Amino acid sequence: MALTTRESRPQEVLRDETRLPQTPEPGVIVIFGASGDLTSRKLVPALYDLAAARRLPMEFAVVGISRTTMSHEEFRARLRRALEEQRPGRVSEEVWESFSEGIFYLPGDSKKPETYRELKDFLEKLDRERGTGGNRAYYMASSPSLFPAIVEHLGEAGMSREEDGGYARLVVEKPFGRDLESARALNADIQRYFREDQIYRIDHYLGKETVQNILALRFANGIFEPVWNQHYVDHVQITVAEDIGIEGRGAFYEEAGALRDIVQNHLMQVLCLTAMEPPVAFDATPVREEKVKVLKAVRPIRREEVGEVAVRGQYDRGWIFGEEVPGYREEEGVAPDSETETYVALKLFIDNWRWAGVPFYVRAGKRLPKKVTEIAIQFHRTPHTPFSGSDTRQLEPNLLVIRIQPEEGVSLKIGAKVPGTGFEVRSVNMDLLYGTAFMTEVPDAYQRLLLDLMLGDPTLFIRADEAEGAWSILQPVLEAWSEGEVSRYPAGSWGPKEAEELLARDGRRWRRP
Amino acid sequence: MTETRASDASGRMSVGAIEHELARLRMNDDGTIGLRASVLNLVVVTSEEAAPAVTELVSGLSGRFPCRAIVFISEPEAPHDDFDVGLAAFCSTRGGGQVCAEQITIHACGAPARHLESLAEPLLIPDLPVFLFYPDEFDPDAGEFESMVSLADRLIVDSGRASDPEGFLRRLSLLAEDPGVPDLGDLEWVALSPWRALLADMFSPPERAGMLEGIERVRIIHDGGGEGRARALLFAGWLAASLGWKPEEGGSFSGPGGGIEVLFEEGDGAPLRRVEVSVRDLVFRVSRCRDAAEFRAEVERGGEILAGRTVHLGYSSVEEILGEELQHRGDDRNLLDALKVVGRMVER
Repeated sequence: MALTTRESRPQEVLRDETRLPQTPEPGVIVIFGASGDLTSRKLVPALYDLAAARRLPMEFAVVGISRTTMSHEEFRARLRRALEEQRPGRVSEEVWESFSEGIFYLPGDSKKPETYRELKDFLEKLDRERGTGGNRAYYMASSPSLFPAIVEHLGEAGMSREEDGGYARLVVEKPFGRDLESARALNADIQRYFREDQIYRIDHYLGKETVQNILALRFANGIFEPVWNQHYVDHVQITVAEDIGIEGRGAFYEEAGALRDIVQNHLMQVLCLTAMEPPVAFDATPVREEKVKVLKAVRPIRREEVGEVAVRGQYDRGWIFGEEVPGYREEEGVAPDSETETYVALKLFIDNWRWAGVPFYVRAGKRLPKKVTEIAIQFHRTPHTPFSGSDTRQLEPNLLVIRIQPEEGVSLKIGAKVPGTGFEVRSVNMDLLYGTAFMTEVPDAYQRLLLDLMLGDPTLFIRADEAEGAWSILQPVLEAWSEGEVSRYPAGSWGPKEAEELLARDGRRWRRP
Repeated sequence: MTETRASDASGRMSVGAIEHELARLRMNDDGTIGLRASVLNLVVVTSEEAAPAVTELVSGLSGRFPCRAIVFISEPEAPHDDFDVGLAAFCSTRGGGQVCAEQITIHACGAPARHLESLAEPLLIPDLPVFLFYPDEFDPDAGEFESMVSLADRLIVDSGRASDPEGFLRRLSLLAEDPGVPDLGDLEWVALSPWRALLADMFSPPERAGMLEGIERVRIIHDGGGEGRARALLFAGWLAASLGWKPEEGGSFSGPGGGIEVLFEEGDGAPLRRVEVSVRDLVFRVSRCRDAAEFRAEVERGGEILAGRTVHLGYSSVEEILGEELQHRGDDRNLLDALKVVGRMVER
């Protein structure tokens, strides 16, 4: 009698899907740019956490590649030090020892074909010695300028081919290009060698529990969906505010700016999750299809109307929480006459049945008064109230705020009678910090995404048409902003005055988060 | 950081007085009533000796599972009829908000102790699942058990606390088939999760697909205590149920690939110390590390370690194990199947 009582694969008969988490197949993660910060600060700590939590297979390995000359041992020692910085006092020596036995390093120039020949031989050796089963995920954690060369060499070396049932996956870190043209070119370069279903474009924002909770709130609660449309919603405000500056990344930020760094990816993703139709299932294709539909429905911004629907700003010296902070142009690595934007506000429309005529005001900025990410849905006023004007002068429209960070929750503004003998109705905020209802350790975004990568679940990764769709919306803005001057705002304020005017023209104002 | 706020109010109280006092305990510093974010009701039936440990358990769980806990100290044989109420809130501040778990402790003597359900029902928070937890040995034939389980969505027991784990597990296997008993959970079964996961992982690679049918021997080393015996039996039951083995006389099993020897051995250390599964010349081993903070999984051939890894234990306290169990709803088919086998093993 064959053992096929529970699963089609006989060896899975011991799997208990209700209690035992799914473990990926054996495999190797190859990290290009392994000597960089992303590897030591994010990727390896996340992999260590997964290993410690029994979420990785026994037959697992990490191979780091960069030009720095290092032995396996030196690489491990470097990662061990970084891990202690990231997880102070929480590293188990026994777990690290076991995990680090699977960490290897190959010095090599990712622009040279011999690097890939060596890598291929080494991966085959790991298959034989560690049972990694021919499964590889190539993680491009290097400078984006190296992406095309890495992809080409992998492809030419036959390493993008999936053979004998093994997988070959490619992870692309953001930015996915600098504009629409470069994004298309990058996608074309990658797709010469890798099929779209092999490509995992990573935006760590989508790995955040709190961002995924937007979907849970919308689609797991029947009370929101009926009012989630233009019949009930007056407008939507999405805010991604940071109180920090550029943290020593002047050279990077000068090349990027807020539009490329935050709006094209994080903010557009939040917009999609807020506005999308319910997917038929929480699977990669339905979820990503619905997001792409939103991007396609965003009303194109004409070059000549950029000044009316888009605002950019740059922070000057100012005060944040009792501390004076330097202006952007005073930061290290920033040109003294820089016109790079550190603040963006946009007015967007989604031209579809659900959202016709509802403006979406989105903003993102650095050195704002506080760190906060939230979505505010402002509802229409009631068509008529039976109360006198004096009784309702303090009554405001209903407002639903979905807070993503720092504290996760929802806040609903409702009208309530003030206790007393009169009939005065006033707005009251009802706050529910639902994040605190489950005080569990929230997994790091990279933990979630790396696990999904190894399990072959691309739901929380960006598809090519998503990346290009976001660039298409923003391309006219990028072009218009390639000339002219950026507005200024003092650090610690909510942005330049033009941002206030953007809403004031419509008879609205930004919320104070 | 959890702050415990105990009420001075005590004695025999009405439901209204209890609710009022709990709301007062949840009050913020500025006098406003703190929002209550509750996810479940936890009803515990325990003894006076174990009550302080239960209180500590509820306090520890309050961060992850804000709930209303109703802890009964039951003395049905006491000569007088009375009950006495004690109230506490365990409030954790996080992210600018405050979440409180509440504990109502009711010491019931005599007749009220035989009708605990009448005390529990009006105090349950509506629309939330009810977990009924017996942390100590209990008698399923006792009068109040049937009415208490009728309130519950899930019954949680700890077979390791029984003086006779074998007999208790057999009784549990019968209870599991009783349609009047809600979905069942056992803390010793939860504690087995990492053992089961690690063993399952070792047989996951496709090249080991056929090996499960070739298992010849299983060694389970435990400490001989209640927890160790319960876990060892449940582990054997799970393996047998998953692989279609049938218990035979003398402790062996017959499976699709032939006879399997299952050996229970006593050793030092953790309740469950090591399990070894032998297939031809290979030994698949899962063991607790010496300091008991980690697990080690290894594949060995003739004394040579072919593969191995060390991982975190996962759960190291009753609080963590109970927390894990509180996340589950519905039948646990694997546990029920394992219990059936254990029931048959114990009969033999």
